[in-house]
Amino acid sequence: MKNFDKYFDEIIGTLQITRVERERYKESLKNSITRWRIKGLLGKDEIPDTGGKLIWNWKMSQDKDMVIQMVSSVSKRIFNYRRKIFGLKDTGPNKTYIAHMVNELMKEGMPIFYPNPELIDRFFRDGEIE
Amino acid sequence: MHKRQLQYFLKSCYLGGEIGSVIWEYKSKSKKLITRFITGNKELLGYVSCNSLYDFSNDTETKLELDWNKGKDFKIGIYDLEQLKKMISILDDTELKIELDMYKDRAVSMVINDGYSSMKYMCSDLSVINKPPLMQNIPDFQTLIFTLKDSKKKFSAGYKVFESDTFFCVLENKKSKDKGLDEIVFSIGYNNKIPTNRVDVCFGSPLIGLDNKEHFYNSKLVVKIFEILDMFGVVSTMLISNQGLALISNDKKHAPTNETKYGIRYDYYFVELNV
Repeated sequence: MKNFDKYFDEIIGTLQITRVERERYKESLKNSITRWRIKGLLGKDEIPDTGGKLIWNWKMSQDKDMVIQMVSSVSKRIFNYRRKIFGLKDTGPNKTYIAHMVNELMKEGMPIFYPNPELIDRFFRDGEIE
Repeated sequence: MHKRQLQYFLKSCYLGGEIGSVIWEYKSKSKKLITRFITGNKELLGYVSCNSLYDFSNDTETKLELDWNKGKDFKIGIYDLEQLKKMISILDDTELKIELDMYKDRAVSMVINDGYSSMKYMCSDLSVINKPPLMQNIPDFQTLIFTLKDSKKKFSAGYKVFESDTFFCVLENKKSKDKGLDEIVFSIGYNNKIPTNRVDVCFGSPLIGLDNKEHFYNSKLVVKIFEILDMFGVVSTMLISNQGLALISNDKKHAPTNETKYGIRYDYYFVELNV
């Protein structure tokens, strides 16, 4: 995989992720390519098209992982703020419920978008990846 | 289900914190509680199933007929696996009574009771948890290794020495002065370009059918799996394919000596690293 960094940059585009996340995403993409080759979805030395179905599939899966990370972060933030709010004092935020609300928010209000509508359905259905 | 059996099942999918969220599915027809998961970097895909109820008082196994949802099929979304693991550890070491509060086909909450104290765990939407791909086109595995206790121990100790090296290479021992000539060694710290500090751990199996390419895998994940194998205390097999996949399994179809302890079956697939 020569020029993998260039190829990876093209896929990531303008997404702003940290250095650590970038490394994790890169590793994930490399592993996914190996998996797709084993599954026969790609040829031996073939790499998927940067705007193709497989790459969007991978992006959707990464998004699901990042949403889990976001829910964790939001839960912590709510936990820290509830002690400053009279009406919320001594109540515990429920991470599962927050995850549900974030998921709902991504249907309306902050809708998630992929070029392939089937992928949007899959994001909310079960998120199964190739 | 006994607390210990539930803990074994939990630990087998938690993998020391590598997996955060999972879906458990019970099928009353096959009488199995199954879960599939994938790590965030898509390097490991796991399949763990509980196939029987284990009676710890007389070491016997019976069919897994779970009455958590009145004997019917169910799916549970566990968003925070770590928290559930900690919650269950509080309960007494006894048979647990588990009941699901269902809404349509979805578990809303799970109430676990040890006869003295009880706890409620809120289940999540299944859609918020990443679902791993189905295993298709599983390649032929060329080499089979028995995960012996001594080798596992040495490998784990070796991994701790080379913290920054997160991978190991599968090689054949060609040095006549070393023990285990012509056998498989897992070389931690190996580098093909420059001479480095490295530890070669012999696994006592001949290298059959593997090509001459270097096969690198993640040491950390393998160490985590070895911890699971140690927990069960049975010999399992590790299989390596030329196509870039390795498998650690206790399925008898790979080797007749493989054993299932406490009714739990596992398959952990690793993708080869591009180093």
